[in-house]
Amino acid sequence: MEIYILNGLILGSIYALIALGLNLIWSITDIPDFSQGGIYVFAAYAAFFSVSLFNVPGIVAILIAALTGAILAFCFEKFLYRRWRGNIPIQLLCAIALFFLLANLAIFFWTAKSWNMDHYIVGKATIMGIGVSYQRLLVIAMVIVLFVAINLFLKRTKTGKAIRAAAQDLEVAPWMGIDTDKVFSIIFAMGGALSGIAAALITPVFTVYPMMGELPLLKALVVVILGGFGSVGGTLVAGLGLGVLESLGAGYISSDYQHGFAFLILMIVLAFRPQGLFGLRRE
Amino acid sequence: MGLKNKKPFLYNKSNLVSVIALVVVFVALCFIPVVYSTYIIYVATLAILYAMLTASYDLLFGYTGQLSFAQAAFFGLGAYCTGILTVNLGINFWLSLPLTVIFALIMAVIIGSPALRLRGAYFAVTTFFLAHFVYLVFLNSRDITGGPLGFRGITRPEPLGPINFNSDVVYYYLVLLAAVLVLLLLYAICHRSELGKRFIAIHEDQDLAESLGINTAFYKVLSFSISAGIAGFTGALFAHFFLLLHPQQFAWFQSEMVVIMTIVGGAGTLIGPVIGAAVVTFVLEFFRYAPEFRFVIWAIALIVILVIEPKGLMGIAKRIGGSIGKLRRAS
Amino acid sequence: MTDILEAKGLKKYFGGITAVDNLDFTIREGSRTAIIGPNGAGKTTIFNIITGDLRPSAGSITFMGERIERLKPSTTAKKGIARTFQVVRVFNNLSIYEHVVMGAVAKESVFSTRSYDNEEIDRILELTGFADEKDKLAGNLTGARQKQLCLATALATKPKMLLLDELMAGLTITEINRSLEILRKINEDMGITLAIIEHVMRVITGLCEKIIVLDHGRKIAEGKPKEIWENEKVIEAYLGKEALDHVGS
Repeated sequence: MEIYILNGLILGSIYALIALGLNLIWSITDIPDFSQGGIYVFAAYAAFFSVSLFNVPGIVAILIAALTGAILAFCFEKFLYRRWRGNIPIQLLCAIALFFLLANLAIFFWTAKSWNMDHYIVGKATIMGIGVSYQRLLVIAMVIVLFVAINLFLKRTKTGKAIRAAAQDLEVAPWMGIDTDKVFSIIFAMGGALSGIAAALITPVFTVYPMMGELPLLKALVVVILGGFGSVGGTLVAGLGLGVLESLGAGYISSDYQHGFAFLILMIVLAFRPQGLFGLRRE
Repeated sequence: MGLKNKKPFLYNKSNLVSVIALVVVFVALCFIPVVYSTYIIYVATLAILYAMLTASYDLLFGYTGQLSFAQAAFFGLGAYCTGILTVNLGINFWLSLPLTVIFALIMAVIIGSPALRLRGAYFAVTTFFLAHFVYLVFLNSRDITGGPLGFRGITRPEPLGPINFNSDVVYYYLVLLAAVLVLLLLYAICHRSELGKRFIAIHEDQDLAESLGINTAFYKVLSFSISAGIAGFTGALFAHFFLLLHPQQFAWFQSEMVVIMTIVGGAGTLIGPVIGAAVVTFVLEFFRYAPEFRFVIWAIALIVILVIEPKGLMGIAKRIGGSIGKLRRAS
Repeated sequence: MTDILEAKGLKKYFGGITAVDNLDFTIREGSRTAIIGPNGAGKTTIFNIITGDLRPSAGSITFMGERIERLKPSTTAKKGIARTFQVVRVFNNLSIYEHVVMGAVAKESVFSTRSYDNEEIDRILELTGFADEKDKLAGNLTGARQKQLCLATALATKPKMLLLDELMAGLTITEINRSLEILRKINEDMGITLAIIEHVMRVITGLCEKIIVLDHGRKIAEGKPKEIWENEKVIEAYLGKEALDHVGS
């Protein structure tokens, strides 16, 4: 039981971290940015190569991954999505194409093989009688720190306030002296960085391979819808909740359908609360 | 003459051109088995099946304006349904075919009713999960679907009188006939019926349509179901053509492929998606021997098409037609 | 004459914001009623609740003796409520003629063989001034004309009551006068009850028999135009305190 919950929390915190970036992007720009799934893959490879080839310390690897993610997402928005602002189907298709492109480029460059990566911190702690590697604990700790940091950033800083104002009403934002292009760039870079960090954190626990972005992306999208658009706290709760439910479901009901629970939960929630579990749905 | 008469006239002309083009293509398709090898017949059958699937999707996306990523899921449901009916239950193909369509329709109503309450990107993302869930069901219900080992034992349809479908050529003609019927049905719905006008109204402005008294929830589910029904029908024909079913054939990226074929051809034109399906199928076959490479090319090609002309090949054709018309008027 | 519409105890909350607060009002059959108030007073929200685009948080709406507050917009449309939108909404790729026909056929089932009345469509096009351009695409009209097209389309649904949301915004004085004439004809000749949200004063005073004034979702006054303009609460809410001083001097 405890082991399932703990594994679920680790998985869930990764979902929550990707979902946080997706949520910021989706709630402000209206784009469900599937390309984050591909960015996640490239960031994971960036972390993997910087550790395995250049032996950099863990924190540097995480920063490299964050930077990779930020640059990719920034470029995608600046050079692609921006062309079709307001045309959501086209942006969504482009995002999916980018996801597909990145995953297949990874196969092309580095083959479909999966690689193991060393833990950033070696060792184990014992919690409630279960041995847990420090790496796994690092995942949860980092995610909590990042959530608090992002929340403070949005609430306290000037840029954060501008972002929240833009989220309220994109059409009015320019009137209040907010440069929407700049806000979009910042949001995408932030989203990319968060996906990158998520990838760098989880890769040592699992493995790195080209299609590794698919499932976390799908789960993160579910988390965004469940958590409510624009809700930082809701995203964290929904992410951890989904991770734990999935882990318990896989343990006690059927591991075949581990990846189907997210969909079932989503359908049930949508049937009763189309606005998501927390917060309001934007039209 | 004033502006008044010009527009409909131009429309009629482009309609006529499309009809002539379609007839030419149809005649050419009829002669494929006479001229070409079995491999080309195989690819052509696949292309026609994908054209049917894509055209059915155009009803939902191009005409009703609902972006869905679950078309291959209904294609798969149709394929597995007829497989189970004919192989496990021993039902005749010709009975299994309508049953499969009914099954796809029912599934579409069950899934579409809650999902279509969502709008735009929310609906699109939900269908994405749906496609993934259906894939998981195919993959994990090993007792019924064979799981990752695939579903075997499907045979060609039972003979109809003297016509024996075991030959690829005969089956090719069956698929071609089905495609023509499906396209005529879709054309009748989209362009010649009150139903099509309502779908287009919902696409153009759902709130306005609803305020005039169009029950948009009902018509969206109807469009989704007709589209899914045809996808199931196509899936059944696919199953009895390919004879081996594997979950990968119906995974989410196959659904995405349908969307891409539609966009490449030009959504909302019915002919565009058919051309798109043919082009994409042949291009993918062309890159068959470099599988890592073909998806890269394919993704880049899609992005390039989106950048150049989001309305696809039909949009490009119209643009060329427009500038030729301008030149002619200038001279 | 009887009341065609009656709202009782109407409330609407958005998250923590109260958009409509315990509102009661009636609209008489065949009348011309204006709903006015400063921005954010909840005018459009009330229209959206009447048509069914929004569900009220509490309260009831009775239309011709029937409760309608839980119905969908398409159902209220079938019962005889038509509307125009504050923002421009048209089917861009339909010709003006097709656009108005869409209004005429939208309520019917697709399987219905009853066809629309061609003369009726022509009459509406004539009345709204579209008779000469009925083959033009709706998307090619100016914003103000598109709103007029929405009015024509709404008329084609043969409504009993018509809700007009800032129909006159962006029109020139001549166009406003012309629209006033059209609205009067719609009301007097066709017997359609009008409920109007408007900022253009001459429309309100020149056309409406009754005015309902809202502020922050509450009704602060109700009555004939003359009474309303003499009501200090209205002037204060609508024009601000300064205006009140000005009027007083």
